[in-house]
Amino acid sequence: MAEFPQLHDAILTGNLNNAVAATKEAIAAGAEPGDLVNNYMIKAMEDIGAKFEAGQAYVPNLLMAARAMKGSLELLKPMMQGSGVTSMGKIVIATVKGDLHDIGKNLVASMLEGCGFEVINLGVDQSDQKIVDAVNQHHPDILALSALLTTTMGNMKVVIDALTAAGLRNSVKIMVGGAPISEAFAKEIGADGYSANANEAVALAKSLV
Amino acid sequence: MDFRRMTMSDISLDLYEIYRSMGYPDPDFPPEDMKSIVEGLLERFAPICHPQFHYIESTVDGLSPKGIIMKGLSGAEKYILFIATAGLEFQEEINKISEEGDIVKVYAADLIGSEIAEATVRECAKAIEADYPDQGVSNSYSPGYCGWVLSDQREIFSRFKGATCGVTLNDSCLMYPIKSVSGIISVGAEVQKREYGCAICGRKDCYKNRLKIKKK
Repeated sequence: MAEFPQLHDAILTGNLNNAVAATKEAIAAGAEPGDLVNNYMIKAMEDIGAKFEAGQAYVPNLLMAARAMKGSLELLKPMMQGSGVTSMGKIVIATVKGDLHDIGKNLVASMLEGCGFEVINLGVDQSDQKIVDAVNQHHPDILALSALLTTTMGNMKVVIDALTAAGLRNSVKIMVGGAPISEAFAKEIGADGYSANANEAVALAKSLV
Repeated sequence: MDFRRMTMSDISLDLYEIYRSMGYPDPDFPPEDMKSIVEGLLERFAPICHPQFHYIESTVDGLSPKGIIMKGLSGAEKYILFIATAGLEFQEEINKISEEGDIVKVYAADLIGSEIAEATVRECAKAIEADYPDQGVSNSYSPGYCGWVLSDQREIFSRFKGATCGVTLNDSCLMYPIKSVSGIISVGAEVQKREYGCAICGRKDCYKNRLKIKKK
């Protein structure tokens, strides 16, 4: 069986051009998309995540790896439709009302996508009603909420209360993150999990689905 | 009162701050790939961006900055309210970059925009200091930080009577262009540039304090 370590390495080093070239080579060699995704690409994302945790990589490295992963996935997606290769779960992600910060949220979204989740990114400054509507519409496995400001983090509780009032709370797991958020705060507002960074967010999402 | 519309060459960007925000352990020597992205973006922004600021003399009546901010403003004989922005042209360009879909460039452009806004505030502070050469001038403090409620933005903006450098508020009191800063500065013989807000604010749940703790 052919092996494609260059695909893994291109994503690990965040080299988009090399990742695209390696993916094309692998396709030409008859590789199965599911094999490439599971054995090389997701592995590379896990490896860059581990380096980040160890302080050997930084946020830009995560982003570059996610960008390379996305470039490869775009080539593979048409081949994966109807192939039985399924996503790891569906996630709706949003920054709560009153908060325009989206870089951290987008990093988490990219990492989750890179690691095989289907992600619906609602954007920033999202009201509780808009988030409830999105949960109702998309039926995600997980709702991920982000806030950067101490003055807006309380809106996460508003969203959770609105989901409860709408009878949707038990249908979705809720994970929260953002610089002012803590494990204790997550518990206090009734979230199912908290992650301190994008890498932890992937591990948390995997544990929640 | 002063209004100034500038070019990128009128402000001094702290590139170190941009790379430090990315988490690089030695921001003086960023990796070549990221340096090239940042430099490319700066070249893209330079000919089109017009950072601007406007400040007016006002009062704190009707505003509710918390004790920690009032301490920073203490000794005030005058209060200056300001709005500073990286400008609509910057916002339009970063919107285009977002549409291009390169998440690394969007990330770098966002940090550059934050630094443009901060550099514009520094120019604003310099102009205020020049207006009051014999007075002490405080640091600047903004709604949304140190526990100052964001809803005070409405009151601040109303005092500019429409001359807000093109900055508008949405229904959550957030500014557009996004890379904008509003706030207050005090002026007076007894006013001192005290330690900046983050140095004196003990909120453990604020991300700036967390970064501080992490560094230690």
